[in-house]
Amino acid sequence: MYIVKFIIWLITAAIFIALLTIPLSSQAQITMSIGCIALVGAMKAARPSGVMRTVAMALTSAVIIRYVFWRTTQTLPPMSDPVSAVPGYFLYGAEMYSVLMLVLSMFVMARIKTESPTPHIDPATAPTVDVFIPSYNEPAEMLAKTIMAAKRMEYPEGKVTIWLLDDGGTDQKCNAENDESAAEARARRELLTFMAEDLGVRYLTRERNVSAKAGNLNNGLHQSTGDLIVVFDADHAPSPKFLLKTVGFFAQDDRLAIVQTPHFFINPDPIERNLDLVGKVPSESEMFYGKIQRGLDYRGGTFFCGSAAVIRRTALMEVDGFSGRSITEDCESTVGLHAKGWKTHYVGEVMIAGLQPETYASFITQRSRWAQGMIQILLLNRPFMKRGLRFSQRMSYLSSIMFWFFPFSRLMFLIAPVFYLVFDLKIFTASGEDFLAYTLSYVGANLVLQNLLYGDVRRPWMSEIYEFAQSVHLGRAVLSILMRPTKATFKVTSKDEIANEHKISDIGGVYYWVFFALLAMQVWAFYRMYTEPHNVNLLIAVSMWNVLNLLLAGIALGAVNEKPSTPPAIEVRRPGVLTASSGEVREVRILSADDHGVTFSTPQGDPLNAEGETMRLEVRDVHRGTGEEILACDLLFCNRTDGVVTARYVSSKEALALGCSLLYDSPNKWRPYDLNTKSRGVIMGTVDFVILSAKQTVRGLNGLAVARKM
Amino acid sequence: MFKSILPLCVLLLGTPVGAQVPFFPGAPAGTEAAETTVPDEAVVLQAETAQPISGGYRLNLMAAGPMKFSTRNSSFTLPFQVAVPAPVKLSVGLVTGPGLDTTNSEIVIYVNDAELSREPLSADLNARVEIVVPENLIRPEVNRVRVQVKQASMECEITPEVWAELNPAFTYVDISPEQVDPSWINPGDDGYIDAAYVRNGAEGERSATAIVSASMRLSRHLSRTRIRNAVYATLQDVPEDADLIVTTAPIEEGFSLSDAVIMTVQQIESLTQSNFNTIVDVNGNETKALRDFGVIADGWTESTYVRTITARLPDTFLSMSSGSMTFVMNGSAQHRLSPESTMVVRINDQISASAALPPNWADRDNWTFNVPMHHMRPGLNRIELIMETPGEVCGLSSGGNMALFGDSTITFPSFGEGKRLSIFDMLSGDTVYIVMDTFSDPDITLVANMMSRLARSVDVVPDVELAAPSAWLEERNALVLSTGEEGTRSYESLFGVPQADAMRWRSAIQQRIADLESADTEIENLDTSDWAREAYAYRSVDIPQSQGGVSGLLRRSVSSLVGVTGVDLRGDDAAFLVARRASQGGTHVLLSIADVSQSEHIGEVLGTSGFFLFDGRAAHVELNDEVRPYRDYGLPLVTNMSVSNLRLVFADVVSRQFYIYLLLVVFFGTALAIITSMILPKNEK
Repeated sequence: MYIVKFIIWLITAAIFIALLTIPLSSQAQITMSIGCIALVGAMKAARPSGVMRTVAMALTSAVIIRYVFWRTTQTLPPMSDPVSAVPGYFLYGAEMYSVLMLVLSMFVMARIKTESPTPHIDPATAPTVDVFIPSYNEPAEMLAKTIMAAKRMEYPEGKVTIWLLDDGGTDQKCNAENDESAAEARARRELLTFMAEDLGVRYLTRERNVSAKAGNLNNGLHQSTGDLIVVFDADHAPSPKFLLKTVGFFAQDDRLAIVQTPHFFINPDPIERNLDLVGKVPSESEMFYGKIQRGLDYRGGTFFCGSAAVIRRTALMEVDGFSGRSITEDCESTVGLHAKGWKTHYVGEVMIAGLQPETYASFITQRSRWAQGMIQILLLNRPFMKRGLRFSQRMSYLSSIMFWFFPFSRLMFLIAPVFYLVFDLKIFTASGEDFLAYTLSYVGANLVLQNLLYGDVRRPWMSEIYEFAQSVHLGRAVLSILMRPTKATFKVTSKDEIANEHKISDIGGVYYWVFFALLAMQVWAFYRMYTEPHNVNLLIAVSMWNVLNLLLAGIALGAVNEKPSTPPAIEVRRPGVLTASSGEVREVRILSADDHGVTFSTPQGDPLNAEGETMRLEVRDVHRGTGEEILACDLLFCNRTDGVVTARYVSSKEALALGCSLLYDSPNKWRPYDLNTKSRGVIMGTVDFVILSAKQTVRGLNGLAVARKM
Repeated sequence: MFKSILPLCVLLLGTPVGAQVPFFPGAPAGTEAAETTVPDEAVVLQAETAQPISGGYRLNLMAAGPMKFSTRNSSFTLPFQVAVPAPVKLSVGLVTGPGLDTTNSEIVIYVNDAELSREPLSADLNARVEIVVPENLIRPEVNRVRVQVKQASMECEITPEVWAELNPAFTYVDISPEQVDPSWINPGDDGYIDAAYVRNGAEGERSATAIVSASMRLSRHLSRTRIRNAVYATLQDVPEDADLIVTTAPIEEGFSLSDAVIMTVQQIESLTQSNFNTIVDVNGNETKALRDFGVIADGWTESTYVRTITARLPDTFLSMSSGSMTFVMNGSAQHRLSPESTMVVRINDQISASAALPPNWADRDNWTFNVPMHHMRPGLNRIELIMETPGEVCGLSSGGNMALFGDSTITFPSFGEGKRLSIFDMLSGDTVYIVMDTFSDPDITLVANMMSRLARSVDVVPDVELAAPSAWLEERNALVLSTGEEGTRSYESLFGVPQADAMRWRSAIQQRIADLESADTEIENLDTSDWAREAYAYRSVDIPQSQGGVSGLLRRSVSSLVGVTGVDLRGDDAAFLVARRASQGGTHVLLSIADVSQSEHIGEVLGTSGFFLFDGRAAHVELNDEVRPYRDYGLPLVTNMSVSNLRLVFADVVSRQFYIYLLLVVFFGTALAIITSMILPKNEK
């Protein structure tokens, strides 16, 4: 029966493709495109699922296929003119890359896995768990917080061992030739050893820093014995339910190797913060962890993301531990596991909170590592050819890896208008009318399709903004790894950086050059329109493209203009009891908490008098055992504004526990953006995009003026 | 599911292209044709020639092979077509074998199934039957002449000596001169009744539509009467910004036929000819078959045979190359050529070679001779193969028709590097156009060099820029040197030339151009034959098989398919040309459409579909009332029905009816999505 269905599918697909390669008049092309896009838009409003979702994808695909066919058969410059042909074919390649990514997206997102019910864990037979917290140079406070949060995880007593895997205090580092570095490493080792003992966890380091994070984890793997391995990055603090909601799946399936959960970031990424998008649009990571991983899960292609995952020891041992050929050991390890027939599973509930890089430069460092690592996997592991992987898994990996080539396509789109506007090369041989009829409909279909697939987690044009703002720097990183695939170094993302002033990022200047070059080009285009009336249609079409680049470049100016960050505060809304230094006791309402303290209101009256006054706060711990345990710590009164008191923790282990409870016990309060908010359609999203560009352009130029005055 | 898909499959595949039968060279013409006593060899219409004769024109009736009656009772059906019903004079020539008992044999002639003549056969070599066919028997489109011969032999059995054969030299219809139909002539533009003109530039589209319409009518007229009926253009009343004007106004209205007029008409003829020919790209040292140029099997029954083919050479072609061309000519059957028969090769209107044809030809015999190549040039080249024989047709080939087969070849030599400039002075109003005939772009250096030479006789050396610069790849670049006229002001500002200076050296330049054209071998008159390039010509032919005709879509392809726009194939006999406008880089352009049965429909189609032309100039398909387009269009008579043809016709239908296409896309997209959902596993993990 499946064969019959498949044959019918093939016939239908062949007719569909044949239909879409029919040469059409521009009017018919526009009508078809608008019709399909309008239909999909109407479907989108009804939040399609199942078959309707697939229908919507097919209709947008129709427009895209028509564009691809037209672009391939009609618009390529002749090879007899190599000066135009070379950039022309590069541009074509960039566009086809985008189409490939759309196709892969559709493959991955054709269906998404629905959440499975959390299996019950029998305390008697629950597997033992080793929790690895690898560290390199993160501050002890951050590690203490993560360790404390890990210790607060609910799981049968005695079955969890927490390991602090320190690569910053290895023998190699402690004995480094540079005395200062060696002293720092020894001090760090001493401090962390003490801290681990104090917190009741195991400290482990090793002789040499071999294979970066993968080597560190493997060291832990060989020193531990737990049935399952849990990995938390140094800044990834788990919520108490993490193990209860993940470990049970291993009992259901003996071939399950990995359960991955989303990474949630408690602070905004620098682009989000600098563009003032916090709370207004979904965070960038929502698309991957909210949608793509679910689609990958349906295809059996969920992969380990380096943290917030549970891994079966026996599976890891079968592939000789964590792989360390690339600098993204996580995905690389999963490729090996999938190839051996192990399965992976994704639990979509957010259960850890991490930190994003604070500055644009750190953000680029982090993304460069991801890009280089994924491309290393492509070149060194070749998942599309690796024996043992299923087709769907190959496609899933291809989708995740190929994404990182976006800098090339984005840069090609950036410079493409130059060839015509400045050098008068016709690298895209089409009339202005056809260009608009086909290209605009393609862009429209592309936006609608993305909105359909990711609309609730990604606003229109946000992907383009992020890609544009990274492309110049990531382009270099990707190029270097392509030239020397084995030479990448693991650059640890800085976790303790703080952006504390308005300034243009040290590496952001290039976007100003880009912006002014695009602006000059647009002025030149207007001049040509005036002087070359016979070319005006084509000039308008190419100018529209350039203006789009200009809008993106304007936003990039905002993205590289750093804003001071504020400590990420979490809305808490929990009751507590406050004992003032005077001995007065009040019930308080804790409003928010951050790493350093809390804010609260005192409905019964405020007994606090002076700044620096100490008090004690007690909060009922609802997530441990009976739920009757009380967490308490000392606070220092800082200020009072409109009845809201701000107080800082007096540093102690008690404060650490209370802080972790307030911050991490309720993951549902982490998100600043409500994902249930109605998503933005393409038209309104485009309006937002233009407004954002205008604002950020002004802000970026203003930032430049200020910098020049200084 | 099948039930729902099937009707749409049928809709997709069943296209309105006439009868859905394969058609072919040399195959039986169909069931009804077989019922007539067609000889063993089937009759497939091959060609007819329209010759101007006194008081009208003559259509020769012929078939691909010998029109031989080889059974006791057999017949041929020969169609011909007229636009307007009128009396025609029919002549049927017959040659008989020596064994035929002529007194007991007879020839019966039917026109449109009406018996018009029944006579005994004559043993005379030049015997013919002449009949005047009354007007009421003539139909406005296709007419059938059926010649039936009943043969009796002197012996009891048919012997090889018993045969009769139609003599193509005396088998024809003479058709009365056709009057110029006033309805053909529409106002071309305001104030120019019976005229049309075209401008370059922004206003081109409306004017271009007019010129296509007008030139189609002109060419229809030209093919009938060869300028006899006062088709001319004049420069006297040309708008100042027009490039070309054509008019069908009668000569008695007072305009004289100047040289300029003749030139214009020649251009139109040349244009017509080039558009209907296949343009073959020649890229290097290679051999091209005549089939590539659209020649499948050309019958040759006249004393003069002319076949024109068009080859496009790369712009690096070195005109001084000493290469050679080799023709391989094939013969068919046994032929007895007159010893004086010659073959002449004309390249770009210059005789490049001539040679005596070998008198004896075996079946598919080859013959090779060299032709010097110095008349070839970059860009389009017109190559005419002219075969001539003195005397009557029977002297050419008394044993049957000659045929030039498509597997004949032309061998082109390798090309060297070289550049040439062609200058064409299109004087109209106060604008001087110098047109660069170069395909490499930008070529500002060449222009500058050219201008410096021109400037020797001019006080002011102008700044030179290309008016249509490199964006117009593979497009002729127009260089406007000076003008102060409306419509070209932007060019003036582009060149920064003061009007006084411009006017002063304009006249000097005109003179200098004339001098250069006559003196400088590197600069010559612009060849307008490349106005249309990369064209497809299609023609829908649907002649009922009962009339011995053919059905289907005739296609003449050049290179890759470029698409269609707004074609109406609903008529019985339509022709259209699809072409690629190089400057538009893939824009689908329909240059022209004609529906013989609904000539008034043309204007609507042109008007509503937004057609435009090459470089603002006209290219068109000749409206030929005849069913045999290949002579005019360079089309093979028959072509197998192909998926590509169907696809194109389907494209035409949906281009005109957007909603159908949209519905089909939605339907099949939905079907595909549903089936995809059915075959996707519930959970792939």
